Amino acid sequence: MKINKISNYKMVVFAISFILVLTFVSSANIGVSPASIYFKDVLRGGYAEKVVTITVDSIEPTQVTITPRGEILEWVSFEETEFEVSKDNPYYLKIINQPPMDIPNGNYSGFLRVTTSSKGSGVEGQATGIVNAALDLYTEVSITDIEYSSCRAWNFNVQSVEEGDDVPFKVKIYNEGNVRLSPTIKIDIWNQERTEVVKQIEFSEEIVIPTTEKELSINVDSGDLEIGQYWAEITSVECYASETLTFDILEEGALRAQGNLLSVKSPPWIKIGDTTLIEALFENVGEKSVNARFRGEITLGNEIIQILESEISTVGIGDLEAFKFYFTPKKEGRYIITGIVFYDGKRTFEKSTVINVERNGFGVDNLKTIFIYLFLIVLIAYLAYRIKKEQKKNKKRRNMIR
Amino acid sequence: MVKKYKKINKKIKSNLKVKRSRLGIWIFLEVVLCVILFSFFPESIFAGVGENNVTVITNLTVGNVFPEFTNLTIEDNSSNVALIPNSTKKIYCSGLATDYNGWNDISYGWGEFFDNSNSLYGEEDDNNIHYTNSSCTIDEESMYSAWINCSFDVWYYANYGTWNCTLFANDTKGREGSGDDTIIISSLLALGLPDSINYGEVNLTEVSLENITNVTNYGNVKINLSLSGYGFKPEDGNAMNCTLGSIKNISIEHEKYNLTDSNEGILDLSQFIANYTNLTSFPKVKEFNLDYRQNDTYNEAINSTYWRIYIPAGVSGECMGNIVFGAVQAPED
Repeated sequence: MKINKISNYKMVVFAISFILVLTFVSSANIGVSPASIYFKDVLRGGYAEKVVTITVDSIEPTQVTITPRGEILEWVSFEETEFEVSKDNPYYLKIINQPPMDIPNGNYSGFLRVTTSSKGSGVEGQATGIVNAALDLYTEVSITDIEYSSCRAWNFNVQSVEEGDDVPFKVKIYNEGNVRLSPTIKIDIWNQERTEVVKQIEFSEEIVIPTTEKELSINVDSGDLEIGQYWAEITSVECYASETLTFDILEEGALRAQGNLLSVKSPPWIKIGDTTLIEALFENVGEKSVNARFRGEITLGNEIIQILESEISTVGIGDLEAFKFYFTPKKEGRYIITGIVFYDGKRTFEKSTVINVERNGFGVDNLKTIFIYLFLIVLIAYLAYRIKKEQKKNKKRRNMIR
Repeated sequence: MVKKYKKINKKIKSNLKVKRSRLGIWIFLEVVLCVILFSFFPESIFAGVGENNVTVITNLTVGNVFPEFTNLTIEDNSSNVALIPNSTKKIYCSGLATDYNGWNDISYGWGEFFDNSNSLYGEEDDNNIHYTNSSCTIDEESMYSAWINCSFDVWYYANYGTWNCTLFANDTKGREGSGDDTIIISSLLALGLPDSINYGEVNLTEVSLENITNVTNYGNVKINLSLSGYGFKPEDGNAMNCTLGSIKNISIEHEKYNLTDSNEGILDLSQFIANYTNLTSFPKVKEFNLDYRQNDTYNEAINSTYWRIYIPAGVSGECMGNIVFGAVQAPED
């Protein structure tokens, strides 16, 4: 009986707790960022877009609706006006502004109302108000008739291809101006030794509209390129950006050999006479095992101090190979270690490192030097003394003879 | 006698010859030793007899240099960054540290991300204005340069405005270099609400008990509220639709709120009208001035709103309506 009473009491406490939790748990924590948006210097009849992030603090999908209001109502648009958002899937709302051609210059404003559907539901026999959260996003647009151009280029990319296939180059362009842009992409293809440009391409066919980003794809005919490794310098002329990449022309059906020299490592500071380890780390990221060999040199100023050449090592797919060398500097200074890994008839990008060599402290070597100096000075002084004494004696003897 | 003198003189002369040759050897040795001694010194001075100019070669080896920063970027050179409501946003800051003693001389990198107007580097961490990452990664770029990559988990209530990311790098000799860049943290409008307002069982022609509904600011701007309601579809003029009864609708003005004061207990209709504001079908912005969170240990950015409903004659059963809580950025003080 007592047990039953306790369990009933527990049940009541649990029920109250559950109701309280239900009352205070919020599942509609909606947010929009930024809290206001400003379209600066949009051309009359032009185009501008911005993205705002809409997030809801709820794991389950929440329905969101977008409704514009105000002066901008007629020229603002969205890819979607109704969509679902959840905690793990925020929605990136693209707001597109296309002001009419005949609108006077000036500032125009309005609101975008972001509304959620609620998860609330009615309770039988009771009065319930379902709560809907909404956010009013202030939007301002400044209209101008002054054109300006600006852009940004990044994510340069190229893929190796089999003989006869086009070489695909890619680059991302963002138009930061308020006019359309036809970005010029220049590609200089160099031979493996990077001594000669074997092909040049200029491309400017794609149009990037204001405030948008576009990935440009340029397919270069490889018919005149022999099998082997090439280097490509890709330049975005208007965006003042360039990058050097490497690619291969492969035999039909050939497995791709690809390796990276990840680093050349050594301790940054050592003393004269210390022996240090230099380690070059090579990674096989290709589709077959390769025979790799490291070749490099240690220089001090313009002088080559040591040639570094490893034995040939077989590096499996996905494996790392550390080429190890030892170096004992005899002079102080800043030694530069540079090297390349040669593999499967190809070579990696050059990597380098620095070893700063310091003098030893006041040790045995210094004492030896001081002792030698002192010994020499004493010997010279003694000899000088003896020479002078002998000269005097000789003078006396000569006088005696006379 | 003369013969003996001549013999002695001859002996002296031959002795003198020997002495002279020994003297010559000593002089030769002296010269050789001097040459050896001075050969240790560098030939750094050039001068000629009668020449006006003397050229002195000066040598200097620069020992340790401190790392220098270039190309410092925040969020891949974005001009601004958006925070996430009721959560953190990872913000990345990176800079190229160049050390002419070699990139591997850079032993330690750390960074601070702070509100440029309200904080400085070296200050204590505070989620509104200051973050520190004391273990940033160091990634080789070239012989002398390495990227220092730092990330900061920035809370939704971090101040909006210009923020500064200052990166530091120490080399193995303890020398420090730093660089900085700025980014704008965008304002964030965000709202936290319960799913529903439940008035419970209310008798006809009576006013419900007060329902307290908390509104949480999950952004970084002060907010006002724009409130409106509807029964079945927006702007229908009703607060609720009921399942039974002759009218089946509760008119919008029967649902009321108070954004500042609570009125506990049972109220009659006149008290209800006197102390509460009518809900409307169209949004009306009301001053609420709910500031954003300032305290890192508990969330104080919560304000209560107080609600009641009057149930007129002609309705029965289960009644349900909608209340739209709109957040609007409040004007700056």
